[in-house]
Amino acid sequence: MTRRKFIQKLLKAGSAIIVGVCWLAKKATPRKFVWAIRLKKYPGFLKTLQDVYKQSKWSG
Amino acid sequence: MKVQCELCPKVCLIESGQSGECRVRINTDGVLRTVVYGYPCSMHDDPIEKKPLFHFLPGSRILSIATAGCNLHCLFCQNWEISQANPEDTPAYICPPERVVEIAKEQNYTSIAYTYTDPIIYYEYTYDTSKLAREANIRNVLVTAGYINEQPWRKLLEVVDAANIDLKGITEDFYRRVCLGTLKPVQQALVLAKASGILVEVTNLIIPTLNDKPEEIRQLVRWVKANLGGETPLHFSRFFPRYKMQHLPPTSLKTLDIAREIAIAEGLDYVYTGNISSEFGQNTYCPGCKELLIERSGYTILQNRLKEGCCPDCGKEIYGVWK
Repeated sequence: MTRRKFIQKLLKAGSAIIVGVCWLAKKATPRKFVWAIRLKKYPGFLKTLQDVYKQSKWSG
Repeated sequence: MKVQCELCPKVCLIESGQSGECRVRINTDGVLRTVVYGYPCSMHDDPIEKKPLFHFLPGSRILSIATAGCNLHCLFCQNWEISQANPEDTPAYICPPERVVEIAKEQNYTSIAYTYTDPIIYYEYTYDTSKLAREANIRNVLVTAGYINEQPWRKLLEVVDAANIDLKGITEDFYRRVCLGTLKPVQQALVLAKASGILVEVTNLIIPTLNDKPEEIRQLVRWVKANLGGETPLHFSRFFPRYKMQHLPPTSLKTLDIAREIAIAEGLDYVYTGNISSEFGQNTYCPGCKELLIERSGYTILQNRLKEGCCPDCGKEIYGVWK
């Protein structure tokens, strides 16, 4: 193996290690929580505000 | 383009045009959106004892709101008609955070509860409403299963005053099989909530044959005492056959009484039985001198003997927010 080829292989191996370490670091870092954006239009049926001052039938 | 929702431990990877497991957080063209922000499907006036919260402003009324959806899918869910429903099929009110706080102010509510389904899934709505409510001197209460990731949980706890958090069981197997979730994140949420300084009460729904073995109850109680402290109120709730658990009978009074006895014997100071009428299970007793402090019947306070949050007989300070 020539010196040039040896250096080329060394550089390739080095860059592969760097890429691997970066990938691992990215995976290990806690992901940032992103807030959801409000959807302007409700997909269901809309009703008028009523029974607000009554006790709920739901648990909790 | 797929979007990953980082709100809860399910970390749903959502395809464009699809929703996460909670049904209310969707991916529209690579943007994560909440479809229920400002659209509660339920808004009611409840006694705070119904949450249940027994150590937070007893006898007060609380404006209670919920939207459709949930990130857990408990087979025994008592509110499955709204928690396991798509928003498309659930009629809702138009009620942005400003309007919720306005209603609370108009009707002199001292607090707002985010409840019935799970406030975690309508996170942004809960947070913004809580922030506005706090500015108006109105307190915020969460009634939740605590299935949330640490980062958003810490942020939400900054604007909350009290929480009743379910600890539905004490084994991973129970959470996986019956709730389609996991136990560890719930335990972590409980510990973080208590450490944050908000008032925390815990509810355990006892379901015949699934989580009613005395040894399991003892294990749960020991975990609460070791990780949240003996002063943390624990509510054992009665199960009624609902949703996909219609084949099971309601929890017997005897089972609830045994659970209460175990918890008291293990050193918890305030143990209650709920969803059932019981002679002692709803009262608060002083952990020091054992005298009756608050007598309840259903959601009604019959007498409250506390003096400035302390026992009038021995002077012991009682865990809670009393005014």
